[in-house]
Amino acid sequence: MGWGGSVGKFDAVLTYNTGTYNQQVLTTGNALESTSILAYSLGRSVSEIVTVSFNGTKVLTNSDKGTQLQDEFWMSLEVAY
Amino acid sequence: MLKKMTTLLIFGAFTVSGLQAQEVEVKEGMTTKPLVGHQHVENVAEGFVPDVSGYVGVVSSYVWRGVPQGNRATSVQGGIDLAVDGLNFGTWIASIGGATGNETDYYVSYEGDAGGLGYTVGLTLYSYDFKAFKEITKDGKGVQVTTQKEFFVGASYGDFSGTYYMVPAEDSTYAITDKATSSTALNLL
Repeated sequence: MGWGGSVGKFDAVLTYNTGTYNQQVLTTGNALESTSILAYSLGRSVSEIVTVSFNGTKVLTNSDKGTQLQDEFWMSLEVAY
Repeated sequence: MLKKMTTLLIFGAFTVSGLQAQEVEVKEGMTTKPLVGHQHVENVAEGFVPDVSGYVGVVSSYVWRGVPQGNRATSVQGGIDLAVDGLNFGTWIASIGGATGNETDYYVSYEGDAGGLGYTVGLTLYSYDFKAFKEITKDGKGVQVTTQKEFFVGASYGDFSGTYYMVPAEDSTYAITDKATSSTALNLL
């Protein structure tokens, strides 16, 4: 479920995610599961084709199986062509 | 794995023909796939005008649906899409590093709208290098788990959207010494 709009001079994205999945192969056998996550992003165009953004996730509910997920943060720089 | 959580992003677009467009892209993948410029390429066949768009970028950490990839290492990513009358084809590549190597995804989807309600259906094929995982087999017969299909269907209305993803049981990932505990992924994005 998602929402996209503007917050001041930034483009904002807010998504709520629910479900179960695992990444056992990628994590060498350690299952990672979650049941609900809130993801957010604040982005701003610095030119016609270049955008920077700050992104993060907030784990709302962890599954009782597998390795617990935790909140994440990351920066992004993108150039469209 | 990858591409992930759907992201709603608004990007300015440009075209070689001078057309200007603004578009809301619903991308699979939380985060990183996204700012897509639009480039109209005139085709010799009249009436056949595909949209070609793409991007390259770098993220400080590649996070897929809340799960960090590659031990939170910097990832270089990029993709290219071709759209024709609601039909979309594309590929997306990301460096993950470590044992996984690189990820290359391919996807096809169809999108449209009816009465203000947008919809999309599609299929994504995830593939990984798995440089250090070549001993892993899916069925014990030596088949490497390097690809995974995921079907998705979504709808949007105004600024809101939702997408359901499902990985068929036969594509469920298997651990080194254990079977997957879940074969279905359900995400509302």
